[in-house]
Amino acid sequence: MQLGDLGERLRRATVQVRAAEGNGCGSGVITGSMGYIVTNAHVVQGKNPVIELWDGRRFPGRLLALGRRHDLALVKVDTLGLPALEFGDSNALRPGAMVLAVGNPLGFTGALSMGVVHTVGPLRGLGENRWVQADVRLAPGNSGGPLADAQGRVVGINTMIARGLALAIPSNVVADFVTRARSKAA
Amino acid sequence: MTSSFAELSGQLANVVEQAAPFVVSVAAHPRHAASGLQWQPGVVVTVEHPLRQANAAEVLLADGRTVMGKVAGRDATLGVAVLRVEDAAGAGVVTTSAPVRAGNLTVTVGRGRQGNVTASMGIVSSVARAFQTWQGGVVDPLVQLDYSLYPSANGGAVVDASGMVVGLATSGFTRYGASAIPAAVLERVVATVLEKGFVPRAFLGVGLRPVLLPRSMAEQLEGAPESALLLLSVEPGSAAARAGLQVGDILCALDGSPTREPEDVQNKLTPERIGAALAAVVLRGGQRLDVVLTVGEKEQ
Repeated sequence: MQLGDLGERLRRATVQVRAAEGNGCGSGVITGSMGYIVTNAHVVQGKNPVIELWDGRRFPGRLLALGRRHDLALVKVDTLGLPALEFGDSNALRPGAMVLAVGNPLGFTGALSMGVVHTVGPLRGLGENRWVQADVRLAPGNSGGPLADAQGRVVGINTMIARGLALAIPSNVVADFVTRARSKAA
Repeated sequence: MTSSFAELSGQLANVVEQAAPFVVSVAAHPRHAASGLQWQPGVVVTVEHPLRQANAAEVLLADGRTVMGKVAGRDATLGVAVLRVEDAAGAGVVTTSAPVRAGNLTVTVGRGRQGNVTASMGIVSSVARAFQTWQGGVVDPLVQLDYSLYPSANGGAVVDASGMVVGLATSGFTRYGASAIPAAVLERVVATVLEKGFVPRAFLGVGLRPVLLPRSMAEQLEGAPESALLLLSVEPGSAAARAGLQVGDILCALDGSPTREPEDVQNKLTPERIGAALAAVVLRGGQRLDVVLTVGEKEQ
């Protein structure tokens, strides 16, 4: 698959997540065909957000679960068959592998940036949590969006920027959270 | 699903994996870890800056062992330190001297404090011939990179697309971005340090500043230069003092080339020239004076 096609696929499965109040706007990833969207807890701010798709359609989102320990949230919209992304294995990531980040930084919609995996592991001063640390340019608004590998699989959820590095929650942590949150919600 | 992009991604990760066994972490400073290159069995090359206050540092090897490295010597003009690490008996890094061109893809491989391999990618932004560091070291050529280094990747390996090490990563030379000190330069530094314990520096013992020359003085000289270098100081016992140079003399040419900027003198003072005789043209009291300087060595 060409880089442009890959980028387009990622963009269509990335949504804007607008907190119901205030101007907060982040990103989210559509996972599965049932309308589930995973994003950061700090993006939804504990409320039901409004979800805007790549093509401009808007849906009210229902906040199903918050994982505050990892800064994750699961949201559902009542629409079937949205373009979704698969999770990759974040434990298999190698430094130097290429990654793409998609999100809505600084008001841009579906902006794509590219770089390499810098390393995977904890970061000094940020506790025990493991991060996918990527040499990718992020900006506010990328939060909750996908970090994808060269095959287009989500390997992390972009969450913050530290010392110029993009920090993403590893997809294995995210997939685990989504599975648990869905089984509770069902 | 295979794709050209996925292949490129896999190849980049392979390149990192190929270089990683030769990249160590140097815990040079309580706060700043740097990376280092296992250059030959028992020898690690790294950046000097974090080691400025230290004669030894813990070195975390690729195989996970932490061993002590002793500073064998340094080249402060290039910001390079050489460590003896007796327990690092493994083979040395595979380097290339194939020419690097602006636009070539490079990956910088470092090792973090916890032993994790780190990678950054970008292109060569320029290849500068005979780059002179502000401490007077010469890097030929200096390979400049279009990306900056995370602090722990200083001293890591700058690797080309074939996985060969082009040089040592440093952010010490330029305000923006990073550079690679080529393998050939490192080779010379390591050989000199292991032999002598330091890198000798050529030294004349003069303080200089550029001045404009009046036309009447300039006309006594080849090419009638507009400017030359006024001697502000002459260190007692130095090469300049032994040749009879005095404060107030104006140095107009050295070794057959005009000296308009202090760099013109510095460029002549390569380590190979220690002990060599250099012809100098000096103006004293408006009169031309030809002297011969025997290049000295700076005391360590």
